[in-house]
Amino acid sequence: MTDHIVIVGGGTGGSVLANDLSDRLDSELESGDVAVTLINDGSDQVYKPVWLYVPFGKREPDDGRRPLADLVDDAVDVRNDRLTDIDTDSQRLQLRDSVEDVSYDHLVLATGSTLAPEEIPGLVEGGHNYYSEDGATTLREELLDFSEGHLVLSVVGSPHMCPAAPLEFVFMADDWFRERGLREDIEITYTYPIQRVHGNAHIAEWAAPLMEERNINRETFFNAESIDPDAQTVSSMEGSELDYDLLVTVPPHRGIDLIGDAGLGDDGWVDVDRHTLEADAATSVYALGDAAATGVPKAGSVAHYQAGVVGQRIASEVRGQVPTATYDGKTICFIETGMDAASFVEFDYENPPSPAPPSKKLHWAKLAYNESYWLTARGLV
Amino acid sequence: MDLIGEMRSADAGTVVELLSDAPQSLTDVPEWADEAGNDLLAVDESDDHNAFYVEKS
Repeated sequence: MTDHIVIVGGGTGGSVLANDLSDRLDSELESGDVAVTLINDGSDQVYKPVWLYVPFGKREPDDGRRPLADLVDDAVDVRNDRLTDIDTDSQRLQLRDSVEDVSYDHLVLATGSTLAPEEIPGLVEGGHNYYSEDGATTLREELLDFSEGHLVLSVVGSPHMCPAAPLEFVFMADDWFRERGLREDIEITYTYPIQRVHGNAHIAEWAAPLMEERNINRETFFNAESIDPDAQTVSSMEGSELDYDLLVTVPPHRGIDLIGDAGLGDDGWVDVDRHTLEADAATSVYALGDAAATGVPKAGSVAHYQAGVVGQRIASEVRGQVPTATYDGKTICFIETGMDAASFVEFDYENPPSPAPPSKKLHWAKLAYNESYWLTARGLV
Repeated sequence: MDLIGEMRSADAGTVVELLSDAPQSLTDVPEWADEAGNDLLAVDESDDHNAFYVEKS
């Protein structure tokens, strides 16, 4: 009897886990006691952190794409198909292009985040973003044409991917416009849902004085409720209104609908034990990365570390051992503070972040990591 | 932040329950509820988490 491990989602978490399992369960895969299937809707893996650099002309969307089959060990069956149903009682999945259901003994949902700009009236028409390939390339054209006026960066959705990216965007935009001699004619405003500039109080405390120094306006307690693209205004749930000439937003995020349909959690996020990453509502189901509602950032480093934990736990289960590996909330993140300087944070459930002083070295470390990311996807770094 | 996401889609009069183990929530939630004009009906504090009940105005 073959133990079938099915991973849905070929992003960072899915590919790191597939490679982790192929290494950890090498002999079981060889003997046919275990099979690992990775299902992804598309043939490429997309490395989203590249998109932050696209609007500033520093990277191209293609820099963030690689064929999944090149990243994942040959012992893993990589299937390009779309999940259409999850039945956790019968432990079966339906796929769009497959006649037969896929049964699983262990299921890992690594289905990531999607954008839902349509939830905010006027956002599709009025707002730009760098949270998608199309959004980032369109924004590049807008920024190149923008020489004066009011640039507003509004964090609309929460939770959202890469919590540091809104700060990074305004720091980079400030620097980019200064280098081009345009900053005096461009006002930059950053809006955030709560009373400080970042969800994490330690990062907010570090970032606010930097924004002050850089003359970046802050509008806190600002939750965009609707956008009027003709009048170029954003109205907030709190009753305030902001004029803009160029609006960049972090749109609302959702996971995939099938997770809610399967009773695994709300808004497409799987309710899990934040240490074991096991789903609350079903047995033999794990979730990791953006799809897992752990309260930690939706970030690649989180998916990477969680994949190692899930890999160890499933390997133990396959071997009839008690799984003991747990996730401690570890998160690391580089934070760009301009076009040639960056900070770095590391934290977990127990230890808060303490942002490092911005430096060129950290900026180059971030760029170097982005280049070497594909080794992470292969499970090598 | 999770609370704000739920409040966005809630109808007026709906009471949203937030369970949080972040100590910061004890100040963040009352301040946002006040700013947005929603009513914080109750806070139940316990050893490992706090429960907040906020009614959308």
